[in-house]
Amino acid sequence: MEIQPILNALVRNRSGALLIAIQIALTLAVVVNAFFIINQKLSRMDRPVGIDRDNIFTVRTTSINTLGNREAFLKADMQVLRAIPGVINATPVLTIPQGGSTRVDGYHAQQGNVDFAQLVNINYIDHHGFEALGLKIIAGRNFTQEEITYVGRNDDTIPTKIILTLDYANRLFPEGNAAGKNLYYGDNDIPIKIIGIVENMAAGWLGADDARVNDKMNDMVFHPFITYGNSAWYLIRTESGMQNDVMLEVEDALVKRYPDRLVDNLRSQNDLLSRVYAGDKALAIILTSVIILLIGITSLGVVGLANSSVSQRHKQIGTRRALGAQKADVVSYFLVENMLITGTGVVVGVFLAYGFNYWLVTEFAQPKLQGYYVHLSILLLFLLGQVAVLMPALKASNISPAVATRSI
Amino acid sequence: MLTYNIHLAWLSIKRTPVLSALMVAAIAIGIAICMTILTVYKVMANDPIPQKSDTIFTQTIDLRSANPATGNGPDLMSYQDAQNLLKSDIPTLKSVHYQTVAIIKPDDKDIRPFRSRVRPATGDFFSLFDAPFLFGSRWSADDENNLQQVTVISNALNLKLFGGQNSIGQQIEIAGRFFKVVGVLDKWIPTPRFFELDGGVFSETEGAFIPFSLVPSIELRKSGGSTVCHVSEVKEGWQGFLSDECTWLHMWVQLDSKEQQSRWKEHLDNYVEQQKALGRFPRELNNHIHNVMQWLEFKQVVSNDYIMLLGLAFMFLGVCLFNTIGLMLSQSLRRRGEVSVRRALGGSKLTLFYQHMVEASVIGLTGGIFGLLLAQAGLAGVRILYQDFEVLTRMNGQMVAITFGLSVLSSLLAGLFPTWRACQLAPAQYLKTQ
Repeated sequence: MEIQPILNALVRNRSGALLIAIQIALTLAVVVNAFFIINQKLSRMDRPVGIDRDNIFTVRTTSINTLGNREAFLKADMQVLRAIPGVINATPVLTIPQGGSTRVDGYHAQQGNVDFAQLVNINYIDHHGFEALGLKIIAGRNFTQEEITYVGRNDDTIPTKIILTLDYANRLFPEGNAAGKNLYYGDNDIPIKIIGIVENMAAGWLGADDARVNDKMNDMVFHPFITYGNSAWYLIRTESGMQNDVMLEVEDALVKRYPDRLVDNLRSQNDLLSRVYAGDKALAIILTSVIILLIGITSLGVVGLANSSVSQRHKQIGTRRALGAQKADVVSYFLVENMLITGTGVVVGVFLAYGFNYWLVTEFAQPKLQGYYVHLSILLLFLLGQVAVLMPALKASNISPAVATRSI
Repeated sequence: MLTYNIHLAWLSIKRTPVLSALMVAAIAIGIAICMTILTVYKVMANDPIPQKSDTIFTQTIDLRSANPATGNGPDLMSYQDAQNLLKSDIPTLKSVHYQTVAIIKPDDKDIRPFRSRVRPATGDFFSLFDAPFLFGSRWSADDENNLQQVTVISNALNLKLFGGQNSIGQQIEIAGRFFKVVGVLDKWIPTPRFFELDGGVFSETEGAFIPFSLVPSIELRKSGGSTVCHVSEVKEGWQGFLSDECTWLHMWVQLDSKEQQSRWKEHLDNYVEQQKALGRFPRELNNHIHNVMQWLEFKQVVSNDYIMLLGLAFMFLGVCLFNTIGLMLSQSLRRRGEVSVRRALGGSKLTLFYQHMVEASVIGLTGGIFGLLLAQAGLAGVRILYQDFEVLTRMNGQMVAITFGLSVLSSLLAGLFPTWRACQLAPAQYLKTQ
């Protein structure tokens, strides 16, 4: 197959082909970047949370009139919750895991070295907390019942014993063996003992996209505290398959124990996580629809151009056939022509794609585009062009050689 | 002439129905995608209070302890600083407020007590933010100074408690105390809710507003948002909290003139200097004032995702535009004969140009109508995807106008090149082959 004559014909009749090439270029730029963003969103949604998300749910209780002894109230509620059949364990928490609203603070490993306080997410649990979360103690030990203290809701009291997630322990003590060592808070010189290290669990800021916390997804500290402000949050883990049954029973059980209260925000952890990622998911869906529509539109353009060039060259094609060209020659003419057009578009498109990514990188600190998104998209566009041009090309190959003999 | 040209356009569309339909479809889809995304973006980047957004300001002063040294200063005010700054008479209007949650107990025993957002605010709040009243008005300065238990309630709360009746003078129980209703707000959804960016920027304004002067006497802890105490050890109890170096309050002021703005900035600097003398504010001066739009940008209310998406959407429209140019080009190639006849019969290039542009506009308008319908479908889809943002995705008249403007503009742009080509034809060549 000679490329030169095809090229000559293209150059002579360039406007239509050029328009398609521009479309291909823009399509490539959009598709590459959209794929890239979709993949980022999907991998965000795929991050592990550590806890037994399938079997955990949370619920909030608010007392209508001011409570007397809040500590006793919380303990009595826990007894009721733990007695419900199907419940593995339950714990009061300061905030719902991965729920966004959360307590943030900083600890440091060397006395007086306040500048190196490491940002961390703090949650409160009681001695049943890790079983309720589905986390195993890796080193050291769990809190004991005697160590659990009642604190006020906005009371920033610092405990004397804490448990860290593995990632946070490694951040503070890169050489390992953090269990048994001491931490410090603020310019306070009181040592806080790390009594245990627990498996990683995603922090409250899981849904955020913030440079300050993006590399600290599993940085958590647990305080042996229980608290009650305007209301309290409880976290309940059930045996697998029992969640729905238990969720139905919780409100009645709590209200039966203490009627003067509201029970609301009953939500499974999976439901919560799907809310956390609602924006990411929505964006991925929108971008996917954009890609599909765009590819549709561009293919229609290719088909339209090929069709009109087939009807324009009706006579020339007939003449070629009359002069001995095979049907396959005609088909391959259009396929090669399309390759040339797509190729031109792709070259420009690669620049556009990287240009758009450059804008994202400089303006929004997004990651740099990886080469294989570009390679895959180029492959996709070539395939698309060939498929789109196939029908018109076959139509062209069916033009009868006899056309050549008619009025010229 | 115009009607004649529209008639011609219609004839030509009828002659090439498939091609015309494709052109309309390309424009419609391009416009639909663009407008769907633009609507979402516009609502997010909306100016919530256009009449005043450049005259109302919030300010940040940096009371952090000397260490650690990184990051921005706090966005919010401590109770002590807010009280001191409220004394200034430089701003035209000023208000301190925060959000809390309390149990509301209706008189009507059929309605269960429920949790509601409550916002303690100083009385200027309503005039500062142009909150519309349905019944009654704000509480008076006397009410506020005399610690009267009065409240302004939202439209939604009034509907829930009093069935939407005029409830001025009625009592409701908030957090265990009785409050007299003095005002009911009309439906009020400043989007985004710039004065409180925590807890659903796009959701409706809270249930009840109460005088800020009551804060020391009712322990209503802030709900949502950040409370940061810049001390190693906090003081005991509510009074301790109020006197501590904890930042948690919003403060907004109205500064109508440049002169007022610079005086306010100066006042902040003087205030911090004076507090430094008392041993507070250990850091360098770090005071800033932001107007509404600056604040929304500073707080990155519009997620970067949507700016990226907007970029992609306009590239998408570009593809549709070039697609339409291609289609118009092949249509005009088919009509070389007709163009040549008109030229030969004395039609000037201008006349033909005019005719083709009218045709392009007809295609564009039709595309716009379909695009508008498709965009409604797109927005319905977006509403399903973002369940939390109820108010987010409605198109207003302005957006509809932009839709039609954009579609006609893009079809005219698309028509320009093919029309120019058609007008350049030498008629003789194409008359021969007729």
